[in-house]
Amino acid sequence: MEGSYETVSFDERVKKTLESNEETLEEINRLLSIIEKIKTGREAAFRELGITSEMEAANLSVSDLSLTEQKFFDIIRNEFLDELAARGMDADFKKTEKTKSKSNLTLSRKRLRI
Amino acid sequence: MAITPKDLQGKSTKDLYILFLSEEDRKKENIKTELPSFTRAEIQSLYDSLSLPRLLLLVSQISLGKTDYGLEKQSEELKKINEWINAIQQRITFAQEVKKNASADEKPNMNKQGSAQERNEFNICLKEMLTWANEKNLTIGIDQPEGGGRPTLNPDPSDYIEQLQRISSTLNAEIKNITTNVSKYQSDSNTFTELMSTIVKKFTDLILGILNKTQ
Repeated sequence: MEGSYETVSFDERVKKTLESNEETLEEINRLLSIIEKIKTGREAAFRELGITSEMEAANLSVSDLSLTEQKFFDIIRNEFLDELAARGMDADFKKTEKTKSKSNLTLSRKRLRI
Repeated sequence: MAITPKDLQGKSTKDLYILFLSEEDRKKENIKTELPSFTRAEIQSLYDSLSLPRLLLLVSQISLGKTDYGLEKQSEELKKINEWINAIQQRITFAQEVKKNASADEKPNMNKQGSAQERNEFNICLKEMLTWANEKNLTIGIDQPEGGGRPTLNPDPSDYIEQLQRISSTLNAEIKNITTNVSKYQSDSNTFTELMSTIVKKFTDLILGILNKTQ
């Protein structure tokens, strides 16, 4: 009797493992589909911003810009980092401990309103 | 007088707004500054010389380089785990069959069951899993044979299945971590798109707003 009880228990555990694995396979498919959506969403956002696939393939670097563009790039980059900091994030989207007050940002936005 | 890189050096968006204001508008807004003033034609010329998409692409590289790399790596990892779990599923089912069909005095060796090709393919999976687990500091329940030979599982069907169950647990648990990572990538990507739209609007509003102002 004891042997047959163990067999049932063993089979049950194996069944559960097989089921868990099937659930994991479903989750993997879900995650892969999210990753694809992130990629296509990003691509669409880039096109909307006027960034073409040729520009992306060109391996552009700051040194390829004219001096005027480089200065403008600095301004835009700082703006981007300031916006991230206002959301409590660093350049890698990691949460930073200190969250910059939004009041300065709001003020600069008001000043920029034309 | 054209706008030179020196005029833009170290400027913030706020400075830029003031820089692009005419003397008359500065007086109206009561802004006292040492910054030079430019004509609409000069500002238009600057705007025409800029390729905003190129600048935005470079800004995106500050943050998205790592995210894109992470996303690609995560995708590859998921595809591998998918392959391994499918292989484990087949191997567990097969071991169950072997166990069921074995007579009482028989001691089947799972490492010798199935076709040579099946065993070979599964051994490749085991080796990949072991390397992956070592890289991630995970305990997967497969021992690395001394001298770096191919890893094998316990030959007894029951032990073999138990070992595959333990490997499954590690893989299933790791998928939970990957789910968290993917959610973070998704949220970062949304933040990026939102920020870029805000910045583009701000800059185009700033320059075009100045240019479109009635004289």
